Amino acid sequence: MRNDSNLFGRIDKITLILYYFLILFGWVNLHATVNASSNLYHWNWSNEAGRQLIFIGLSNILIFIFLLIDPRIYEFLAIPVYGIAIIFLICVLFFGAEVGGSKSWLDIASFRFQPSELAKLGTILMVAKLLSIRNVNLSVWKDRWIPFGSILLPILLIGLQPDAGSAIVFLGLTFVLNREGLPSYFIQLGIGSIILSIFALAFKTNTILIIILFFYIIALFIQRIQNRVTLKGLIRHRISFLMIIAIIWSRFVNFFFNELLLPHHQVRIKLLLGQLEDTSAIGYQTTQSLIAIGSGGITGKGYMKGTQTKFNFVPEQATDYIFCTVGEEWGFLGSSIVLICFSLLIGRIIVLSNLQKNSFARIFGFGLASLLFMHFAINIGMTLGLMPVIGIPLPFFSYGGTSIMAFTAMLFIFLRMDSYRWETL
Amino acid sequence: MRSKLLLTLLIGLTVTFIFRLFQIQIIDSKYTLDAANNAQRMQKIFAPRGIIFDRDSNLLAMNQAAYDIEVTTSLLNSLDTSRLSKLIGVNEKKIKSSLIKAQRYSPYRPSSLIRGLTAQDFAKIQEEISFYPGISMRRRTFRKYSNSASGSAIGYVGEVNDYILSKKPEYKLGDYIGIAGIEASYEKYLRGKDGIQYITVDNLNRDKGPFQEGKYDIDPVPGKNIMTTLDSRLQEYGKLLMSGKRGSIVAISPESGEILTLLSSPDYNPNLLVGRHRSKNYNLLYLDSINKPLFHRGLLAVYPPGSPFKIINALIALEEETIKPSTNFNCIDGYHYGELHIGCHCESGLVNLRKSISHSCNNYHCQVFKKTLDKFQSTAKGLDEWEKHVRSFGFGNYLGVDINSGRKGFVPNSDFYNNYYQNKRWKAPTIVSLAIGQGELGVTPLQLSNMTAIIANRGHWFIPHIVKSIEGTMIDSLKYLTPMRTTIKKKHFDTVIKGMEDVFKIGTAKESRLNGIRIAGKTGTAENPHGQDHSIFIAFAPVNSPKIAIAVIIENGYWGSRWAAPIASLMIEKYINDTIARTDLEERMISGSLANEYGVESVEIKLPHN
Repeated sequence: MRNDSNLFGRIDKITLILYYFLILFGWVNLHATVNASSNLYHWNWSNEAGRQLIFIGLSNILIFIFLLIDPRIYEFLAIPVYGIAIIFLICVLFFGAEVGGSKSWLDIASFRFQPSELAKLGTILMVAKLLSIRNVNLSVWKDRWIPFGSILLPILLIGLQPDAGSAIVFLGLTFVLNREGLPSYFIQLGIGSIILSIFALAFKTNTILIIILFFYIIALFIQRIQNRVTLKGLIRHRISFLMIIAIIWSRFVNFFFNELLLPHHQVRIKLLLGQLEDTSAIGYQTTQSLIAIGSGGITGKGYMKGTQTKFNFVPEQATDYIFCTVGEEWGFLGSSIVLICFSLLIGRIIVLSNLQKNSFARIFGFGLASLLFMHFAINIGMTLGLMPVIGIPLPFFSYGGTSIMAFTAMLFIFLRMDSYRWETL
Repeated sequence: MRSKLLLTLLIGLTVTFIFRLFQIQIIDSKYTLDAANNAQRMQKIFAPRGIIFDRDSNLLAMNQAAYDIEVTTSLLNSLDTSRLSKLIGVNEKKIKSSLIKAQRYSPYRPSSLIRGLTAQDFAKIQEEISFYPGISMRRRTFRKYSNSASGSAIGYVGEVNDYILSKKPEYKLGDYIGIAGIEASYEKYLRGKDGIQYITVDNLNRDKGPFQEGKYDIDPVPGKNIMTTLDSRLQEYGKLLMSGKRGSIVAISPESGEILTLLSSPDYNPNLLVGRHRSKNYNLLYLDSINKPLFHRGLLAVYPPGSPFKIINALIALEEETIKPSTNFNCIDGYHYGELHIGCHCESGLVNLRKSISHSCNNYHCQVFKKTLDKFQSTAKGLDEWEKHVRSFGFGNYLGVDINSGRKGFVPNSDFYNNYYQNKRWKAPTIVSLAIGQGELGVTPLQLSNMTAIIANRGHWFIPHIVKSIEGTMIDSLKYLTPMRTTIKKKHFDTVIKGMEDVFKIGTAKESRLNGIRIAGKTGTAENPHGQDHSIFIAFAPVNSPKIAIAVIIENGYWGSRWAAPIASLMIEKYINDTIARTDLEERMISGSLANEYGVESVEIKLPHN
């Protein structure tokens, strides 16, 4: 069926079905979240559900446009789009509208959008562009600086807004670098440093030192037995270097936590580490989110019948906590289906990107999958109380025009690239 | 294939998430409960308390709507406390401290700001109060007593206190319970059963209507309505006659034992013990140690019975056959025995039984008493026989009235005097004051009234009771329907009743004579250690088919015919004729005040808050 002469016929049907299922089911839940609260139901274009429907309509226009555009153009557009995104990110720091303590929104005419969403598109285009250059070798440092920089720049700018959630998402692009040759120990180090950070926050400074020294001596011992390293050699061994880095890192984490993090971020992390009793205001979101989802049972309370949803117990439910509506009204079955569909969509993108002959398309696709993965992991993890409260939207579900259109754009740029694979055959 | 890392993480994460969903949605039921706690509020619907009627179906106690003003502090954006203070008439300081308390209790739940506004007060502020966000109202019911004369007989209700809460687990904080009178005695019938209403609330605790259309609500069961035996017309008239005087009127229907009037003076208006000023007023009443308004004299005050008790002694003597109706004693200025002298106001000369009652001859009854006791081999034995007879009239014990407050009174026996006179050297003359209702004897007005009913019935009686029917069903307790018998034969009553009739014709209460109705009565002047003698009178009418038996005690009222006799005769006239012909007497009784005697400015209970 792929060899339909029709352009639209060559678009990957599985992705298309998953996309439409998610975006429509997402809207159905948003509609319940927004409209069930009022006693008298009446349709309203100006509330979140109404406006989201307009954004979904606009997204469909975008789909049409992106399917018409020759995908080869993106290789050339990568640098301009990235450049524009970075300019917007700088502009937003100066002219951004402040919402909830951070400047993440830019008002252009009567339109308000989030430059960080555009930066996602720009950055994966840029990374794809940089890594698809022939002879790039990520196992050597000289080829690493520019890709690293192109990812760190938006992270830095978004971090300044400050919008920690969106900034963290970009870290997902490490998966892309890894896939394209960056040694796995970068990721191992990353995960290791996260564990060390948790330890550093959970235990006292001296305890941490003892733990690090304990592992250091064991590692040295193993080295001495396995590789018969001399005592002198052991001291200059990279394990010693790692130990010093670990000690410095653990001190830095404490410094960062106590001096640089805002109090409400500190509290969120402390709650997650179990260092604070979850009482009222701060843990409220997570508690309410768990209550809403947990009370859904196997089949849920029924569409528009969720009491927690209806009576606004969960804050931010139309945006970051939209999954609560699914959990409460559709139960274990409905929410599992949504999770599986997300997983299938991301998996399908990974599979499709592996099939790309063109390395630009391959890296772009994998980048998109990484970003979606990060959103999925952080948002659902937060909603289920497994991660600290980091406010980022659930793609296709959460209310927000920029988010929904950015993800639609990225997805269909990739699907168009994928379909082009067949055109060149 | 480096892409496997992300795929593996993706699958691992999805599985983790689904496990987590399984845990919180299926295994752990805590969240379902929490959700219910979040979104449902269980609200008690107070069962309306049973209504209390008098014997003619006039309302005595009913329910009226009252309103609590509540505040939810999280909804208050800015509160102009001084304006609110002016609006609801509560001082600003109190509002502020209530707000702090409410905030501490829960910012999201309404807590009470003012309790018990009446419907009228609420109507005045209803419109404006709706402009204050976070201020809401809750409806409840309060008692309203339509007959202010029946105050302490009906009693009152109040919020349960810690003591009741610890004793009676079926009561919860904020519940009401009957505290005195009928309200307390018939609490289990009047209370009803509170209902439960489940309402859905949103995150700000705003009412979002009934939960599942009220499917799980439990309707309250209203309390049972009670018809009392009280005659509120008589009750009010009695209160009027008692103005300015302390004492009690108790009237009983001899045919049934139904209590027609149960008055204590001075009495409080039970409406003072309802609503927002309840606790303030209660304290004032409680602390009023001079008037003792919370103390029901009809049920709780113990007095020496005085001369009416001569009738009992005469009956005992007739029963013991120590005298005959024709027995005469010569009264020479009272009773003389050794150094003992008891004066007498009867016109000296030969006095028979009938005259001894109509003229209240002290000598006659002292002689009779001594003769009766001396009939037995020892005075002690005689006194114990005498005690048995006296007790059969309901003295010296609780009568079994359906009001759970009362006194036993006191009837002495030989043990008492053996104890009292350590050398056991006491004889009939030593205790001869018992003959004229003085000495150690103590009776309550209710017992005295019951005694009158016994005389009216010529020897039998029904346990006095104050409730006629509950929810339309007549009380069928055998206790109140089975006649009690005294130890005195019926035939002995005729002479004493004739003497009692003579009291109005030629005797001690001839000024209180009532034309057209045959009344039998007996005056009493009870000496008491606390001051001026008490004025006592007992009477029943009509003599041949008695409808009312009454006892009146006016504290420190000098002598029986001065206050008690006219008041008793007016009460009888009111009950039987419904109109009062003797308006001069009525006027004199109503306006007569013993405030000077009591050394107070006014005998009425006046409270600053009502």
